[in-house]
Amino acid sequence: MKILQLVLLGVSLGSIYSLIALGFVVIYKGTKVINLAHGSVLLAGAYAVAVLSPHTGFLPAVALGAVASALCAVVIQRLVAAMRTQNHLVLTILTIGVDILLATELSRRIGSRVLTMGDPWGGRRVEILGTVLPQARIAATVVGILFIALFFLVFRRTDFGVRMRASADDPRTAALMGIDQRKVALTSWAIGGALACVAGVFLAGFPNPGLDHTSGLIALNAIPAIIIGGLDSTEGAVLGGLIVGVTQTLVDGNASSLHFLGEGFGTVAPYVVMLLILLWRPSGLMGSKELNRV
Amino acid sequence: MLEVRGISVRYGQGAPALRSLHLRAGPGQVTAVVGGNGAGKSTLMKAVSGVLPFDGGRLEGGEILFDGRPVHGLGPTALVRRGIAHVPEGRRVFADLTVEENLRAGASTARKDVRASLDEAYGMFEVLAERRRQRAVLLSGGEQQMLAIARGLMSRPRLLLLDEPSLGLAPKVVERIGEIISVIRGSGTAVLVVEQNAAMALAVADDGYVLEQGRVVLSGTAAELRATDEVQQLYLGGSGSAEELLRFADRAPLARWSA
Repeated sequence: MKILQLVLLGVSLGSIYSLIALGFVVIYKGTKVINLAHGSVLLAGAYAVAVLSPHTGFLPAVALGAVASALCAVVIQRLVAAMRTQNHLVLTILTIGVDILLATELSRRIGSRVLTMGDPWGGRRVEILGTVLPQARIAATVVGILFIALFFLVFRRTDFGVRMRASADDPRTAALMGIDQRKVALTSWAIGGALACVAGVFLAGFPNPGLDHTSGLIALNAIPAIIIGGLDSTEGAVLGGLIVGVTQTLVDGNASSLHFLGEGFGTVAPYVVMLLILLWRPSGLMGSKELNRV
Repeated sequence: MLEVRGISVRYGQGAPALRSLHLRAGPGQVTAVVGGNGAGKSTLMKAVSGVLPFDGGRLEGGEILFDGRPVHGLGPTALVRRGIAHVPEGRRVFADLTVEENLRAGASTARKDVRASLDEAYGMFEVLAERRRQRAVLLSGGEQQMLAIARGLMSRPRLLLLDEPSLGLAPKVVERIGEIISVIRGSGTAVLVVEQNAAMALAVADDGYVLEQGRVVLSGTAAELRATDEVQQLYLGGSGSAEELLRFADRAPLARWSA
């Protein structure tokens, strides 16, 4: 039963990583920039939720926080777009600078406090399939799966999704079809930002004590996830997020028998998986292999 | 309908790709632009559809009028809304999207009647109707070209720009593309087609232009152009010997233009 419990906890953590990874990939596909400030965007959104939730209640606070982090991402996108270089590597490095700025300001505001989200789940536990799970983790799984399903529904089934995917495939030709590439860029960053906020709310929830100034660093766990899944694959982001979540939980759960590897191997394990997968499949599990007929 | 007045285009610091180029495409007509590699044909198309900035190109002079109004300052979205659609060189179908999604992407500026446009496209290209659920990357080269043209028509343009539609296709398919151009013309849409395959282009066109090194060196009705020795020898693969070909190639374009 212990294994089942760990896997369920891993899926819960993984679905949160999936949301973060999905944000990375949407932004990458929309603008070919890897937003390394994503952790700070997440922190900004979760901070907004923590500040607002005592006044507005939990759900409105999450909605407003998602808007706040979407706006934050849009501002970064405008900054990136204003640069007189088109070099995506340079622009990606630029986001590191933005990340440091944002993270510093948010750390100053949060200080040494640990902020709570005001979520209704608390530390209650529920029994499922003979295992006992914290309610907060079940909520994370459900909400994560809901958002992922909604995302794929919109991207696969609507004309909006067709325009976004066409632009990711070939921006110049998409522009020729009259698809405004500036709008595509803004929308993809806004979606990425909003997803980060939702993920941030659950990262700060139980069993973590709350939001502190280092919470943004957890977003870094999504980086092995997107590499494992394939940088340009939304399905890959979800798969990668789940793999990272389950790996981490399994390793942490068996820490006593893995003691010979040293303390904190759970943090390292996703990167080991990433390396192994890169040796086997250089473009990730679901990344595109440039299948094109001339 | 479309009037290009003395435009010059340059990429970065390089030599100009177009030099004070003049061209007219009449309403409801097929206008062919022929010329070899690097003559500036694709650049002309990109200038008209407003996507030069994607390649670091810029308009350095001249103007482009559509329905008598200047449009050279507009972006591609605004141009599509005005009624200009550009089918790019190399087909450029969205590989991961299905055939139908490709067509829907082409209708991005259309707010309604997408269903009717889809039915029209499937009526015109039956092979697309059969494969509407397949990913575009699985189509053959000829089918991809049909899809690219159908996608261009989804915005219901009044002027369709076709950049090298025959590129890399079998003679039978090239013939079919010639027929399709005639059908499009028949439905009232003007076509500006750029081609290396001058035989096909001049066979379906009303008027034609010959481009060399970013300039128009010859122009006239398609019939007139077909009859000239130069077009015969250089572009239609006439019976001329190698020496005859050299005779034309040696002459400076400018001299021929002013002659």
